[in-house]
Amino acid sequence: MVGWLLVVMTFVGELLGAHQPLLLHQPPHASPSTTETRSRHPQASLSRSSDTSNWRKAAGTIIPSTPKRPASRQPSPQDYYQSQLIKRSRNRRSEDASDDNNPPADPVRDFAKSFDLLHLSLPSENPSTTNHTPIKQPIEKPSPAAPRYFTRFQKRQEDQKLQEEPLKDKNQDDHEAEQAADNPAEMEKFLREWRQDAVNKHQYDSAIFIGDKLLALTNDPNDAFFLAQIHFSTGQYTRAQAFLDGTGLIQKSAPCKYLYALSQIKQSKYEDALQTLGDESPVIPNPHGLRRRGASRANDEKYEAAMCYLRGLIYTKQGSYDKAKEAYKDAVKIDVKCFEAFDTLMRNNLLSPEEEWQFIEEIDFDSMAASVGGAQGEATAQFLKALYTTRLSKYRNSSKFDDAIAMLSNQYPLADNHDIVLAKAELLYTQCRFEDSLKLVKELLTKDKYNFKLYPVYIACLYELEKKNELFLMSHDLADNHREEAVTFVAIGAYYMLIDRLAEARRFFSKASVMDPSFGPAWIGFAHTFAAEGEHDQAISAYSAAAKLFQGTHLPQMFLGMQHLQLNNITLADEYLQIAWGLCKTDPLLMNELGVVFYHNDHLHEAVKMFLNGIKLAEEIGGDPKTYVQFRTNLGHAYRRLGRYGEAIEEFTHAIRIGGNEANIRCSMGLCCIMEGRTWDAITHLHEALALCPQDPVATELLEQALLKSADEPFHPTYLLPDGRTFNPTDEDFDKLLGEDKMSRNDPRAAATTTPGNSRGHTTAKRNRGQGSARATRRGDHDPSLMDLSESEF
Amino acid sequence: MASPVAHDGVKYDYGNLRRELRLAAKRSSERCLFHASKWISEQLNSLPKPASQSHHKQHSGPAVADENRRLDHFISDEEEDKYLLAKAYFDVNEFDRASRAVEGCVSSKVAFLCIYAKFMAGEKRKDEESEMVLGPLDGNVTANKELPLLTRKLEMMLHGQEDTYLLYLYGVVLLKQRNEKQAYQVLVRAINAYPYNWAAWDELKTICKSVDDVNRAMHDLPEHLFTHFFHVLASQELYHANETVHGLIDSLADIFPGSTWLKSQRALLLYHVKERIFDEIMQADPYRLDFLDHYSNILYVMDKRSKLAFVAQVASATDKFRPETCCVIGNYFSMRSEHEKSIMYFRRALNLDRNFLSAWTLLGHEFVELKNTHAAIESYRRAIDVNRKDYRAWYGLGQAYEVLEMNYYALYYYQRAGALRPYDSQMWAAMAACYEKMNRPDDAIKSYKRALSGSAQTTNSAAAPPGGAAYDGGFELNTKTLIRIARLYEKVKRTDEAVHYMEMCLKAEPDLGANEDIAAAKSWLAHYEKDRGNLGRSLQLAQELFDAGLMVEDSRAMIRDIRNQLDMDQPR
Repeated sequence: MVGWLLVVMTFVGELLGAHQPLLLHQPPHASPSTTETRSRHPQASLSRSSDTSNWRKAAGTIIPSTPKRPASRQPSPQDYYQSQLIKRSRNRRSEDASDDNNPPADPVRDFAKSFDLLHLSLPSENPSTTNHTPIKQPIEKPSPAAPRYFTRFQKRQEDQKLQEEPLKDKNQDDHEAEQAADNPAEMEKFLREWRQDAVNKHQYDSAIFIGDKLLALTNDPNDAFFLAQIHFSTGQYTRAQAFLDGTGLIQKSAPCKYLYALSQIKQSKYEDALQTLGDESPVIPNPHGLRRRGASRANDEKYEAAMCYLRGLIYTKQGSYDKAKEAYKDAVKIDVKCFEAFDTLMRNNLLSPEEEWQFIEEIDFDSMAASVGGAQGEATAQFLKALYTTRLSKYRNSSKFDDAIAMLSNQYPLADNHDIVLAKAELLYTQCRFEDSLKLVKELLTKDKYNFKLYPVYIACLYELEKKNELFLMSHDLADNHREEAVTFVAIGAYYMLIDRLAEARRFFSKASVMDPSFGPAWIGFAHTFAAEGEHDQAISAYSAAAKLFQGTHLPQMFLGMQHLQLNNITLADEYLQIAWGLCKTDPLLMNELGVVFYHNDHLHEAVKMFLNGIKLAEEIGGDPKTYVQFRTNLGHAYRRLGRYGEAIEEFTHAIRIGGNEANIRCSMGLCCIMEGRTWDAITHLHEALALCPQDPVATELLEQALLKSADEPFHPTYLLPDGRTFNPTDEDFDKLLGEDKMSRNDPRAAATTTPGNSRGHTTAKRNRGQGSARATRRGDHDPSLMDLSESEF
Repeated sequence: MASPVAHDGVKYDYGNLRRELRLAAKRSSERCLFHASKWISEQLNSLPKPASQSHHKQHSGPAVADENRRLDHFISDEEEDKYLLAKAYFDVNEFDRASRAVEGCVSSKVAFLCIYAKFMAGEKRKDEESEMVLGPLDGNVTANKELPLLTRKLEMMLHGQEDTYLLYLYGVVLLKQRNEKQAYQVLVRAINAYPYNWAAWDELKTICKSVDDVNRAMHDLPEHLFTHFFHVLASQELYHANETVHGLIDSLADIFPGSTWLKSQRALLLYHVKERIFDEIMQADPYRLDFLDHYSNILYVMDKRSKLAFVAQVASATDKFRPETCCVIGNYFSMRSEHEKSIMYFRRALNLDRNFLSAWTLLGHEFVELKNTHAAIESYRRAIDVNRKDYRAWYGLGQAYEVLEMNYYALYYYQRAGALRPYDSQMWAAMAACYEKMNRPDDAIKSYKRALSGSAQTTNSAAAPPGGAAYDGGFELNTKTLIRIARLYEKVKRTDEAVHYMEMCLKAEPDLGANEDIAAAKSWLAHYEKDRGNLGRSLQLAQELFDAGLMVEDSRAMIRDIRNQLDMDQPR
């Protein structure tokens, strides 16, 4: 019996040996140490704390994921392996019952038991779940990187707990407990289950207590690692770190190293963490080559990716964003499933849209396909790619984006999944369709109120739509419940900005950016407060900070360009806008700014072209026309400078129709009318401008000019005659009407004497003679009526 | 449809007309266009009594088939139910709620109600945000925030269909944004799609700022009964009475014998019979308040204090909180020189309806009385915002700026007033005064000349400003103007012309008797003749002056002087 068992154990050990490279950085030690352990007595191993034995045990313990990976990749050996184990556990039980004295003597068995307990209790009871866990586990593993993932990690554990519920009941069976008391192995098993149970219940004190005792009992590196995990979970990072230091596992086991570095990061010891991790990313020039190396490297790969991610995190904290970007990219390239890194890249816009799309092509989805295998693998890869695509920049390839969304909603029931809907909402937001975007986000929020990923879009939409009240309520709610989130303070800042209290707004934005220096909206908002106050220099420095942080988005560059435009630094503005243009060619607002630069440089035709293109683009996107008032206005100005006043007025009218009712538009219309010589219309427009903004100096000045011009123009209104006809008499008509031409007749003496008016008298007399015909020709049909008028009067 | 103004004596097809009007009233009322519905129903009920009930019933059934049927259709029962709900909300002034209840519906009525309710909600909010009348937030500063959204929605809905009521609404929105050119096109489209849409006519009227505009519009409009109504209304608003308009009123009155609306239009056009017609209207329809404010203006100008008090009592007994009533009462207090009270009432009128034109103008007049020039300017300006055809407001603005000695401004406003009423001497005289102050005698002379030509018409013009200084009678003004012209000519050293106008001034003497202007002219001429050596005429003029007892000292001295000269010339 024992002999058979030994054979089985040896096989398992070999198997493990084969898998050890997955876990450890020093695979050469693996196989000899296994044999060494096998020959060692358990008591000895308990008393020993030498490095070799420890790491070796770790090899067994830290396997949580190990057996699962092969399970998914190498189905045939795994099946065998599992069946063996199940058999073994059955056998063991019978053996325990029959042969009570002997059992703990064999270290191999001890080792195998620990292995069994931790990882196979579940599959052995419920083999069908084996297929689920492996997929979940790897994604979950790197998660403790950020606090919110930490919570998710716990959630996951809770889920597991639920699955384990029936199992636990069984295990807590009194009978078994008694057995465990008799048998050290059973005891360990019992303690481990207790510990797991405590962790599941988030009762970390008891978990630490039990874990500590368990470790004392077994001195198993696996248990040590577990204890470190618990310390980490309770937020005692220093303790976790110190504890790991004590175990000396760090250089041997990737998970330990990872946890160690993470603890350091949590304590903001970035330099140390970087030292732990080593600042060189593993060079993986050929992902395909890597893949070919097969499953054996998979686990290592995964931790490699996680550590790359940590490196990125450290670089970000240290402010070397380029390095960080590369580290994140490496992480995703090494392991597609390192979503954390991918998310960081996308969320913080570290890549330019072009880079993003290029990057998604580079990502090795095929390895996914291979790992799953067959048609299913292909589908999985497709699925993942679609999922990732929805996270990409919305400026480019919106068709691909739509395809991805369509695929996810059609082939998988994910149409209502929040990530997909959020992606849609973001797309709508970039297209300036705020109402639609807001609607989607609000729907999501009803399902998951404190999903902080939603809030930036939500806040931005509310801000754009000037929904003060809603923003107020929302920011209060966040402030009451989530003071630890940077987004809370961004919301408050946005609210203050909306109600024009810039000093407060700035305070809150700055608080948000201190809390999370890589949170883009906070920086941009911070800069906006300066821009709104006209403090261009400070705004520029704030935008520059944002630009450094978010290289992938053109917004900071564009805002910088805008600030320089306002400072009249046209060349500088042009430079920044060109950079922004390089990043994103599909933002109508950017085209507007570029047009303005052309305008200021007197390249009016180019400006017009740019504005027209922008309008076209805006219409294609189908955003809220209200957003494009500025375009129409600017186009109008360009036309005005070109002397195409009619078109200019058309554009201004259009701008007003779509919602721009600003003094300066009316004012410009007034100017155009003056230029066209329609002084009265000009005055009307200028008055409207002044009604909107009574102190507008330009409008006042122009009005003055227009009125003076109007006063100099002859005023000949149209007369209406009682019979319904109209005519437009000249001043001479009235002279005649008043008999000025008859002067000579009325005053014959004046004609006789030689006064200066004498000659005039003659000419009028002459005119008098030819009066009838002359008048008839001059006034045509209206003549008789005018005569009537004069006769009735005199 | 055949012209209703058929003078050929053919009896008008009342059955059909009745049906059409009934349908139109119903359509307007279903869309909550209350004023249009009221107006159409009034006209419907002013038709002569039908000959027999059965006759009417025969036609009422299938004959209504027309292309506008779509206007009454509901796409589904669900929409009809929703419509009923929205209409109920609208009727109790819950506009936002009404609009939301029918969001996304496509039936003509329901879609209209959805947008119209949103529009009304915006207007209501705008009024609330404007706070005090003439306060800092009143006026263009506060806009209807729904407009851009509505524009977009309407543009989308009107894409490829001609729903007259939606077009009308689009026109209204465009007008609110001062986009008159486009509003005009849209409203004309609306009218052509369905001429019985009185609401559209009513809006179109506000775009026509001159008779030219009206005449031009006539080419774009269909030949229809309502076109004639429109013509009458537009002409009335422009104070433009001519034979055509009177003829139109007559023929319309033939078809609608009981129409008080037509009567009031006639009254407003015919200055001299206004009072009588309004009395008739008040008898026929004692609770009618429409146009009563105009009546009170007339009474004010005619200085009929007791009648005005009576009308004010009647109005306030009917409804104290109608802008018309408030205007009548305001006029009454103004007449009693209780300007603060009258301002209060005009303000109240404006609180009730910020687009109530006459209240703005009258408020301006009251502020002028109180020497609050800036407030007056603001009021007049608002009046013009509401209706650019109101020459009284333009003139008031001119006066106010003249007081402030901003002559360029004053001139512009007088010109605007003059453009509306070129035959009104008052405007021209005011312009000339401005030119004088601007030291441009030539232009001043030209304007005065026009003032002369127009003065004769002043008396039968439609309405004079009640609050301002009463206008001068034609000939008295004439002598004044003539003297001004003569003096200006003297100033520019064109003596001949000066003499001419002085002489003309003398010609007025037989009609007016001696007055100061004539005396001044005589005195001037006497000096002139004396300087020229024409002592005989000079003496004669001086003697006339002396005999009339005007400028006695001056004329006596002159007579003495001339006699001395004569004596010197003719040795004893």
